[in-house]
Amino acid sequence: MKLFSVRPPAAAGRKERLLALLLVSIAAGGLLYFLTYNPEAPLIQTPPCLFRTLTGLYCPGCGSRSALIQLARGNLYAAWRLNPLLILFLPAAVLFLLSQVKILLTGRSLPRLFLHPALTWAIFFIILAYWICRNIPLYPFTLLQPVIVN
Amino acid sequence: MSERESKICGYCGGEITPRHNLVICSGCNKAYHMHCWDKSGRCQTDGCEGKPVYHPAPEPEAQAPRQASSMAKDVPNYLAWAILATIFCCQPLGIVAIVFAAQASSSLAAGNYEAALKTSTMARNWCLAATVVGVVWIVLVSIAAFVLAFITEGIVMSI
Repeated sequence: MKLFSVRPPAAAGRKERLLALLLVSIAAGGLLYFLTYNPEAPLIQTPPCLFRTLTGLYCPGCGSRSALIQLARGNLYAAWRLNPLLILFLPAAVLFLLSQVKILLTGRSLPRLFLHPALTWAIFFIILAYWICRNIPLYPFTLLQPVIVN
Repeated sequence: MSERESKICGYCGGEITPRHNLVICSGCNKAYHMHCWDKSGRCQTDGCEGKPVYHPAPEPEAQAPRQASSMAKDVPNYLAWAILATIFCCQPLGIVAIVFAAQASSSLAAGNYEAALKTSTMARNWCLAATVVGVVWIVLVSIAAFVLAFITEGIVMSI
């Protein structure tokens, strides 16, 4: 069973180009922050999670925005403790971002990665399991909860 | 297939397109529409006693699924967006989008183009919903934080 297949690049339409511009600008902003930040400056406050505000439970994305700021500061461990799943998805995010850069430069994406359906379902169940485990107040599941470390 | 290159029928003078059933004379290699050969029953070249060699046009049934599957390859499943919305926008709505994305890719792998298209659209809608709710929430909270900071600062200053 092939877990994924690589398909030829697709031409990007107007919407895709705008989206690429937005995403690449955000990434460039992050890079700028990384190059210019002052380690003494307090962490940027991030908006709380909607789901957590409503239910008091953690969602799969809780801590991800703070984790992104920690990443922009080059603090991989702090980002990991805030949202470990985010770090696991990071290689895919980097690939996605590179594709967006290529869309901006050439109007065509990178060769596209198509996951086997079983793999897409696996990702779904991983996120679902992560969601449940984060809310179990017992060690070692508590390790999955967002913690602010330096 | 060299015999499929555009040819002129030796009987009616019309073009033989890939959709036509083609007949080539075994004697002189002249090309004919199949219906033209059947009408005349023989090669039009003087003295040629060639037999008809039939080259039927590819059947439309055989062509259609290939076209559908090549179109089906371009059904987006929005998986990347769904995961981004789930992880970054803090949205349980994104989970629903991932389910539809997974369904779309399952349908696509099973060759069910219609179902893939339908679930792909659902995946896109849920992604959009997750993103919009997430962005609206972030904007609202940011405004609230600014207003709160403004008020408390005002109070501090008045004391």
